[in-house]
Amino acid sequence: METDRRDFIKAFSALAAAGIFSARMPWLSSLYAQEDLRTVKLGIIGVGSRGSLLLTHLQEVPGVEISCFCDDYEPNFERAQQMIGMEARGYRDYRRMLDQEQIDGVVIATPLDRHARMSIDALDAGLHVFCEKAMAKTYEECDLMLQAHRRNNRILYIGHQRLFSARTLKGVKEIEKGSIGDVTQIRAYWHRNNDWRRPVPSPGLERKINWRLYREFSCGLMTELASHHLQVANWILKENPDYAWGSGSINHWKDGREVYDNVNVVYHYPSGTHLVYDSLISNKKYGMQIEVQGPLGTIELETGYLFKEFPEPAPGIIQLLNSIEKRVFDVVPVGGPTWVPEDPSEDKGTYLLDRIIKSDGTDIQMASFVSDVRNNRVDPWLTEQGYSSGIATLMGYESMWSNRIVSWPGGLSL
Amino acid sequence: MKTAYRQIRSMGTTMDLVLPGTGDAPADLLVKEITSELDRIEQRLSVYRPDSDISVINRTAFRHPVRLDPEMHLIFKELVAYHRETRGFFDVTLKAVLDHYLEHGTEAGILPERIAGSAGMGHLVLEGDRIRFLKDGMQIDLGGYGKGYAMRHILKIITGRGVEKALVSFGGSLVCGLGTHPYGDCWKVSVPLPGSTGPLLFDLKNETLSTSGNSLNNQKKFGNSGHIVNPETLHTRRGKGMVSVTASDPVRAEVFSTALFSAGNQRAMEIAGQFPDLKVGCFFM
Repeated sequence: METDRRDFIKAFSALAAAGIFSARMPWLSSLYAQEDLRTVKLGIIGVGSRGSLLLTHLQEVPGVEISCFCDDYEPNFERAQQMIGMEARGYRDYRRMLDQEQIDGVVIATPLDRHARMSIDALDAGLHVFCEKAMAKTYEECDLMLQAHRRNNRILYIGHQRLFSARTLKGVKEIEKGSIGDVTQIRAYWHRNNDWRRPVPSPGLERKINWRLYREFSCGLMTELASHHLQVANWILKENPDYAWGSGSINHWKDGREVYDNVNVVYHYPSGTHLVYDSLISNKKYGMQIEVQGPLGTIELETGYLFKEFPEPAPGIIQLLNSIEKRVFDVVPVGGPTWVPEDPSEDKGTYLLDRIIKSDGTDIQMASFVSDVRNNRVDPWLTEQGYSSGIATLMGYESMWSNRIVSWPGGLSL
Repeated sequence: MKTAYRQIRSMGTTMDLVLPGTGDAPADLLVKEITSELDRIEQRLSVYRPDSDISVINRTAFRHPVRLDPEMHLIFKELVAYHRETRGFFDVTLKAVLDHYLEHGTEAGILPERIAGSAGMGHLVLEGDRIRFLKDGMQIDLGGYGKGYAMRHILKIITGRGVEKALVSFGGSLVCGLGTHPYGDCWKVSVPLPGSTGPLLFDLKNETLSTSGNSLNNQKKFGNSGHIVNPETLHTRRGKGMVSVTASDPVRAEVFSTALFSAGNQRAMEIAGQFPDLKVGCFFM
């Protein structure tokens, strides 16, 4: 992981030196700037499977002290204590932690229904906040979080790590450069083949551990998976969807869950572009992808490949063009029985980076959060990315459950 | 010298236009005109468009004669004439045979009588401006002619716009040198040969080079069985090989490269020898 991050930073430094990044990504400067490593003290709320992964990343960032943690599920509590060490103070009520600890910020990785309350309380306590995605469970909660971030002028990251993924960043840059022309459609999907359940030691813990399956705590595949791709789509299109319509059902995992096991939503944007989204957990052949399409090509952001609609000229033609420019009369090696692939599906695409980077951006995101906290660097744009994704996600969710087209809600802060 | 380069995707392949001495604006106008003309020709001749003239003929000409408009009538007269000129090795009635091989492979045994019987230019009859198929199941495919026909029309557009020098490559298998290289007395084009054999070299001046054979890409699709059917045996020509032919008319170049490859090495040289206007290079393994 450390090697990945070092590779990533090296690659990024080179790209940054070449002016690859747009000015809208100032937070990345924290990754390669020389910093005075004042210790940043953080608390972590929610140390389940995602929380413990974030904790692992944080523990690799120089200059971080995990002073305290909070989890109301005993196995998670014990694991956190083991991971961090006995010097960290453990809590079972996050409010006590906020009251008693002298920390700079918190990382929140709890079920969706708790995001808003915990984030707002932490922001109002003067802390910087990293909150896992999706932002919140209702439109109102998203808005209240945004307002708390603004009135307290505190950092609020929402856990959309693709903002820090080398593949996505390079892909977005290529799109901004015009490599595929105007974006005319985005297709995104996330397919898995499992029941999405975690083992439950006793029936009484079913709703606590498998909270993602119940509407009291979760909005299902939309908030847990689609929110990532919605963030990327909004980022690329530089606008929010104006309406959505969708349909979902439970057609395979009929085990008492309340959230759909397949979701299908179309988002319309003011520019006329559509995002076509689907997710299901009963087939994994097609995996996960964001296909950004334009008249000149397609970029697959999850894998980092660019496919041009029109292939590069044959080498012989390139040679001819060069020779004419140099005033050289040369042989053109251009003949042959069918030079270019006639079947577009044979085009394997061009990998956008110059090396394989496995990181999905989570490690960089945590390093960036720490750096921003250390430097008290509040970036409203970053928060608004989480907000826009949160609202759009909930539009799709509402559309499916109400069986109607849903517009971007009125009366919101954005 | 300013050289405009443009690419057009058509007929399942890419056309490269190298236009020395032509500016961007005139090049863009040319592309627009050429694209429109290519689309028009595809709509007439492509078997991949279910509503093309050829597709309608394929569906209908056995049940009753189909009237041809002047352009299609001229095309079919030319197809029949080239069939004779190439000693029968140019034959556009072999689509059903090739489709059978694609589906069942060439090792599947004897060709079914219905398929074998449907092939042969003798079963295609032109009566005035009408065409009729004498065999049920006969299917026409203008591969081996269509690109040449398109190139002929494209060259008219290019020269009609006053362009005197151009290299036009249609997927590399059809390359036209219009006028000369801006710093030479022709366009020198080479065709690589498999293995360590040196390339075939051709000097083109208002001539088109057509190359037919079993390429790597075709091998991926058709396997070692090849994709060019010999009209005499109704077998495909297997293994690596190619024939390159130059002629002043792109249709002639393409027709002969296809026919001579189908005929095989010995017969190819016999036939080619009858036509001093053609330059021919063959490679068979």
